[in-house]
Amino acid sequence: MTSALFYKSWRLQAVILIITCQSQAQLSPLSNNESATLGEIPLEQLMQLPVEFVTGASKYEQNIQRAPASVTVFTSEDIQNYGWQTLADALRSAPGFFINSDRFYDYMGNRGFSRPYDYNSRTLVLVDGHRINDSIFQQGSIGTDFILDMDLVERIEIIHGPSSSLYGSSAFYGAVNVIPKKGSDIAGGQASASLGSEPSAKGRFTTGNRTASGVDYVISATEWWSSGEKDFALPQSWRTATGLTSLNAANQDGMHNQSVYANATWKWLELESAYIMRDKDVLPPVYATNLTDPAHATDQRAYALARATGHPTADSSLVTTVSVDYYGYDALFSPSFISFDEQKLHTEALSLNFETRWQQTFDNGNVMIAGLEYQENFIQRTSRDDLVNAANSVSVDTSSNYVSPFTQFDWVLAHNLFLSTGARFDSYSTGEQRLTPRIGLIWIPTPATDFKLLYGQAFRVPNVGERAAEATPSGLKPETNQSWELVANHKLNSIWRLDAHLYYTDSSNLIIYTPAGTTINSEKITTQGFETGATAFFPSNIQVRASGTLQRSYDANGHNVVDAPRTLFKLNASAPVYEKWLRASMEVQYVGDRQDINGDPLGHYLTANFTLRAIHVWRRWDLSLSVYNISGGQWADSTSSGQIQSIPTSVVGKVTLDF
Amino acid sequence: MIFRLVMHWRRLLFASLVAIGFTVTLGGSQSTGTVFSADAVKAAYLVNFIRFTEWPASAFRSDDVPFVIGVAGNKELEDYLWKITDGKTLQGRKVRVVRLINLEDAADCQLLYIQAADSLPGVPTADWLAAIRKKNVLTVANEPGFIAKGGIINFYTDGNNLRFEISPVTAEAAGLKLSSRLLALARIVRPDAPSPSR
Repeated sequence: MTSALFYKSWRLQAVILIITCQSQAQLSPLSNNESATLGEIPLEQLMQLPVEFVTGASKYEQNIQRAPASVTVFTSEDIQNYGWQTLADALRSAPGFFINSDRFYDYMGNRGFSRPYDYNSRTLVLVDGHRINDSIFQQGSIGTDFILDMDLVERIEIIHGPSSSLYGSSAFYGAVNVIPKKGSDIAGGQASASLGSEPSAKGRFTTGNRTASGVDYVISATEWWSSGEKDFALPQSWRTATGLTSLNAANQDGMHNQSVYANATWKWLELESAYIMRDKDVLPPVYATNLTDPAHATDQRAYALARATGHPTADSSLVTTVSVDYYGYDALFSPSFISFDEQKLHTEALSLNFETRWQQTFDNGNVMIAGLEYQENFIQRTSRDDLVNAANSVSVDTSSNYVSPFTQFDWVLAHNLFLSTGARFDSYSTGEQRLTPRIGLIWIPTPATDFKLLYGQAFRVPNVGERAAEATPSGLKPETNQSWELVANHKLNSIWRLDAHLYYTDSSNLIIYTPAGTTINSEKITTQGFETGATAFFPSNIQVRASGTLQRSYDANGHNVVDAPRTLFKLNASAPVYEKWLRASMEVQYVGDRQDINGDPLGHYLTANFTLRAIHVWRRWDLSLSVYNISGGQWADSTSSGQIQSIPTSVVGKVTLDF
Repeated sequence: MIFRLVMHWRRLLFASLVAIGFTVTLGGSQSTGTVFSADAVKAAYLVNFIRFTEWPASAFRSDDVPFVIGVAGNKELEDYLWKITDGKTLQGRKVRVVRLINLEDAADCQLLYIQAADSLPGVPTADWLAAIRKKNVLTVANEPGFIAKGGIINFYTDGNNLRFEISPVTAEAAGLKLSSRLLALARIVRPDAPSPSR
């Protein structure tokens, strides 16, 4: 009964969800006319043109066409154009992704799977290849608790499908690699301020450059405060369940965060550090608290890393990274059921991560990567103290490590045929051992068309909370899946490119909480999905991206799983509306019918956001005005304990000064 | 309450249609494209490299022979070069873009782009470079370690952008004079000290 309480949320239930997703970014060809004028572009301007590459899919930079995965790439321009304030905002417009928010954390659904209490432990979140998911809850934070300010993000690579063959545990349904800006991108200083209607306020100060001696540096600090929704109306289901008669939870949705980021790169050495502290008032449905005694929680994440890049020979590179990661979580609240005693949650984790990888390019074009990752989790501590009845308190204080060799070999079979084979072996001190392979066959019959046949396996080890709650000692096995995917990409003409994906994923041993609060490996879940997308880059710098996903996730009995919308549609369009400096961007998202965690229906919804942006006005100013959820209609999202309403219309104005 | 949104779907649909509408309407107009293909950008760079480089007279057999750009192993780049240089002159000459399928032809180029892995002879970069040694050929590639092997200009990526590094020493040895504007924008490297390109 008590064991489930290690979890950050309260009522955990034996439910499993699924869906499926994904997409693709591709290179844009040019028409004769555009190509002709391309030759007239001055060098200085060429250097500023965005070019698409992907690094996260193979741990080395490669042409996206040859990446053994389906990849979506967003750039800093997308982030600014669409006014994405959090990583979750960006993921909402990624093909096949859907986001649940309980206003505390944002949870991503991906590849037909979402669980409103899994803390994104099944999708790996990386900053420049560095793992953000912690060693306690394996949480991949993507909301206001994400470690980087979105204004510091240069690009976001979304790798759809299992990526355990490179990244190990948690890259179960995919990986999101966020690459920060370099000092040369900042080239001076930036001060940014935004004001929102909630109200909210955010300020950022950044300085960065590349010095004459070749040192590239960035230092940035952000402070963000939001009152949240001032008069939050409790959902009827919640009122019924708790017997509460009051309608409004006033001033219980506030948020305050502070984050800093610093990076210095000089020749072969890169030093990077990031920190975030987020305080959040937690609405009653999350911790089952009542209106008079709201919950409050603090998340902290920090890392410091050193990365050395060497070229032992002209055709090889050796990259070695050492990092120290800290994660901390504290909460204080009085639940309104199970026990009325005041509860104090405390979690802290400290780990050391070491990774080295060798990349060798052979003269025939084959590329080999071999590497080793080692992580020592010195501190893995989590506790729930019952402040009234100490006998009900529980705690875990442990440590663990894992060591994981990995390799990938990309073969050039013919000038238009490529094979990628990779595997990783993970060995945990807690007993799990897992070998996860990935195979990709890529055929590029014409420069305008490519096909990929992908197969991959992935796994996720039980986290500290799940392990502590296991129904039978050492009874929990890692979750595993295997996935097949067929991808077709086609450049229709110089403007449009199309993609289509068929995928099938079998997930086994998914860990669930029983009604008694213990954890067991549950049955198998199967996802079938079809996804298609179109992107267009018009010569006049108009960009359109649309995608549609149809998918079905079902358990061994053929029942649809929870929180798995069967349809998703997305449309993003961005265009200059006045000369080149005034730009209007709009995104529209449709999420089909779902069920919440109790199996109750959650309606479909359609929402739209609009951003008007003035770029480089008076040389150094960037202004934008965003309206989120234009129509103001609210929908409900699934949470760990039922449903919670989405955020109503909000408006944010932002001013950025370059100096 | 949950379904309140449904009542707004018409408005949203209208808004999205308007968004698509203005997108498509404006789509046909204007110039200056945002380019996302690395090969297209490379082609544009190559043309600029030619503009800002001086070849000695000995590089050409006579005054009326065309300027020859040789491409080994990158058909897409070749296509873009065709389109960009069609009907244009560079260095006061007509331009010919040649797909190199054997080493012997390399020495006839003034600019040689090497993507050895995908080239038809399937020979390593070093062999291509050996084939044009002591000739006035500007060599360009996009491969780590290209400068160390004896190449002159190498592309690398910096975030989303394609940049280039130059070894002036190697260019000089090939009898080529690079303009200061080109050098000002490049990362300058020496062949014996390749800088790490991530």
